[in-house]
Amino acid sequence: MSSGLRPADAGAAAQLLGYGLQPRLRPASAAGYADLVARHQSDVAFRELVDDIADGLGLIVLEADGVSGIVIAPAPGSVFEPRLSDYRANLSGDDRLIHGLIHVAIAAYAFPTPASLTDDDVRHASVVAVERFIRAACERLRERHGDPVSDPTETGQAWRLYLRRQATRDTADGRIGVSTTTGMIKYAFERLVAAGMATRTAGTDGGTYRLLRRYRTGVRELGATAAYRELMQALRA
Amino acid sequence: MVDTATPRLPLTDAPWVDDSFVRRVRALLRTAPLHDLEAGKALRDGDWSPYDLRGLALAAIDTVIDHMGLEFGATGEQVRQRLAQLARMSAPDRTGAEALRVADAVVAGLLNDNNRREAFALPYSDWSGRRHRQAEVAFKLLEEVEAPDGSVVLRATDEAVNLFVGALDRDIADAHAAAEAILASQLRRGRLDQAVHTARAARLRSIQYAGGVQRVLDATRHDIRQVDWHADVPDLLSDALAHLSERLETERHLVTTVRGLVGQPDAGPAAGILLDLIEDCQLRHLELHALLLRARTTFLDEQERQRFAVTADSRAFELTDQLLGPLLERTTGDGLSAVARFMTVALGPQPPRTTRLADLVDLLLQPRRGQDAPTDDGAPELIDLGDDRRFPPAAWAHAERVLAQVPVDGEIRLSQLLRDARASAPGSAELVALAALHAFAPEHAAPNLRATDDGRVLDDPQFGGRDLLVGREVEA
Repeated sequence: MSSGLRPADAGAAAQLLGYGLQPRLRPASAAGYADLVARHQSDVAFRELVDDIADGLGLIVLEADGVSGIVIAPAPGSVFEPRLSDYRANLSGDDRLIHGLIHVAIAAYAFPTPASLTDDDVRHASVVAVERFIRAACERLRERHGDPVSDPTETGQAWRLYLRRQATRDTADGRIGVSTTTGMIKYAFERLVAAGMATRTAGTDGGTYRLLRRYRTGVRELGATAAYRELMQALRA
Repeated sequence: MVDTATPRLPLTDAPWVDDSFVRRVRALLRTAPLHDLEAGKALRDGDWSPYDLRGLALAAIDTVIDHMGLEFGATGEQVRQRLAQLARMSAPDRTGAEALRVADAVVAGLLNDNNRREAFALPYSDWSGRRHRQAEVAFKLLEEVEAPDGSVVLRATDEAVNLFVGALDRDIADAHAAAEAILASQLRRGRLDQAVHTARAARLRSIQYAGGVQRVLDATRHDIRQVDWHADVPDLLSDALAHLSERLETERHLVTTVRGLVGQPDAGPAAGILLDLIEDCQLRHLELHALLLRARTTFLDEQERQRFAVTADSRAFELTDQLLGPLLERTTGDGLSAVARFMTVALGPQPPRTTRLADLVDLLLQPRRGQDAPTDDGAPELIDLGDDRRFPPAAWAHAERVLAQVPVDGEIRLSQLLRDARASAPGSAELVALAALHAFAPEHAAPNLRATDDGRVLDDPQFGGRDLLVGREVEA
């Protein structure tokens, strides 16, 4: 099947990847994008070419559909990988763990069952709901372990770190404190919005967000299993 | 296998219930969310007794379906306004804000917002297999989906379409054929207004039908193992082709009949609408027909492509139990790499940011924030020293001294110039940087310096970008 390709096809494949690097761009809104997506769906040789070019660049193609366009993820260590140090300035290791957990929790809240990962309807999540969701999970662990949260000799398991933080703290000007869990969750949602993975729908419940199709594709096709493998590897090491 | 613990019927008896019983029970259960909405209204904030939430829910589904023909679906606002309008009619003395709250509650109920938009799942008893079995029906009514243009719209599910057409749980192909048969009969008897409703239903069936075929093809493209291409799919394809041939034949007759009606002088608006609806169906069916003919090739190509592909099956993944739960018990030492990997996927690829000179100029020309009074420095006249009120004269003097060391017959690194500027007067470093930028990309006045970029990155606490090589422009 790879015989019919011409050099111009490499240009087309690279262009499709270029579109994918602009996550807010949709096939309907850019000239030629929809045609390239259609070609990606129907022409296996072209799809393989796209995969190969992506691979060389340090990108992983997850899916291409007429609504979201092409959905790609960074390969580990590639130049396209968002750096954790850029996520937010001056974070300690423990802070990073909690920020990362919040991202996992947003996905877990929005997609409660395996079936919900394969649906294609839009899911919502709010800052308040995700905060309650994580806190409840941490409280269950506290009950199971029966340990006081504040015991300084205990190692910093994520649930302890989380419970040590306040959900909210009153600030003089009515804003939520950035180091509270509510503030961190809000920050995570805003980063997803900036990355073209979510949109804000309402200011209620601390901010309510709509998680876009592209986000679910990333979580389903790669995020969940890659993180799981990483976890298993860390535990074996 | 005989299970003596479960009381069974004598084998000679017919089963207690036939298959249609199960279908009817399931159809009945699919109206449950509407009843729940109605039953829950006493718990709402305020007196909602004037509002018929069941009726409003059905109206919401109708509104969505009305928009599903030519548009992708109905916007939330379209549905909201329609429901609010109906709600106000049932309680004219209440406020418009309350009507909107009622509308929002109905849509939220149909989306199952209270349960994170999961499918409604209801248990029922199934006696069709000679013994009692506890079964469950899971379904959705409305869904919010992304339209190709990036908007988010509401769509009715197959189950909701069944509610709309008042049908029980019927096979889509049968219902499709039935709708067209009824349509033909209504046309024969001249019941055009009824025929319009039937034609809408027929078009919905056609959309549903195409959706079903498309799902199979998408699943094939994604992971061929999910689809049975040995038995199920070939049957589906041949049935679908036969079904479509019948539909196209029927539609040809219908179009001829309706065209004749449209030409008549006493034809009302209904005939024109009918013609549009039927022709739309025809077009859809022709497209679907072409898609089906290509389906076999899709399968063969995918089989070839996916033969060696090892894909992790993430489709049975429990995010809460398999990932979040274990991670909550990890420390930074053994959990950070996993959450970091998740984040990089969730946030998507970020193209590496290079500092663009144009951005840097903009940045540098921004008024200082904080206590400094805003200054007027709109135009980037970098060389016109007299016109600038932003930098004190002393800074200019320092900057000029630093820049004076640029040799006529050689080049000097911007980093070196910046270091020198900072050593003598910190405020002049910015001017030096601006002068270098101007030399690199002259805007208005011709510079007396020239700067070249050899790719080296500037290592400086204040500025980013390239470590330019600054030389003196030889006067012409």
